[in-house]
Amino acid sequence: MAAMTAMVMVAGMIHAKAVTTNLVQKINFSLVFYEQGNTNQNVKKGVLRTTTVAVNTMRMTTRDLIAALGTATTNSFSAKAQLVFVRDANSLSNAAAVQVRDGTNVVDVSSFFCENERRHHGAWFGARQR
Amino acid sequence: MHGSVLDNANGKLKGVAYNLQQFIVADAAATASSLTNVLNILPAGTKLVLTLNLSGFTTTAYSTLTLNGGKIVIDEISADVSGTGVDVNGTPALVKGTVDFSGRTIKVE
Repeated sequence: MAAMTAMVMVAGMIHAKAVTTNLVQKINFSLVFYEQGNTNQNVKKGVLRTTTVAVNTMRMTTRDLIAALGTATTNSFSAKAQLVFVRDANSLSNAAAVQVRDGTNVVDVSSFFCENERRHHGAWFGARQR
Repeated sequence: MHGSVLDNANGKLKGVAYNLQQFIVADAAATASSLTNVLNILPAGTKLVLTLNLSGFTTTAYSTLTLNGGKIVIDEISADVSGTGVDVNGTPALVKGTVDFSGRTIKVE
């Protein structure tokens, strides 16, 4: 009987999900891309009148980044997906992760992020894996 | 560079720090050269086509939060950044904008 109880307990431990207390912060990117545009020449009656060189601007937000991360990780995230920074609030280590959270779908994307300094009081992203 | 106030009576700390930080979002296949030279396109086989290599003035506001009788310090950052990048179409670009980490949400999960 004792052996059976022990087996049940072990089985329960195997299936138990570790509970952690996490600090969860939203990451927000709001960027403008400046890209070299086309060069167009205006020729009238065989004479070059003007040459126009364009600069194209494009906005990029967190949603665009989440979409690109979805493609890279073969996920299709919804419009409600969030990019978050997660740190174990009870841990003294600098362990942390960057995740895309889309409902119950949680995808670790830490390997795509890097930052060159530690945060003031905790972890930034882990070092990028090469 | 930072300024802070520590209340020795209750252990509460709050302050602000200013520094220059770099933020990189890139596939592991990216090289240092491809991240720093706007004319370099990422190598073939890159899973994450969008790339960012940004740096700039970063403000970190921090304060303590009481949790289970203990205290943790939470950083919230706001950075005005510029740098280089590659958009989802593979076009290199100069980039400017903001990067923020915000929130003091504690979740047991």
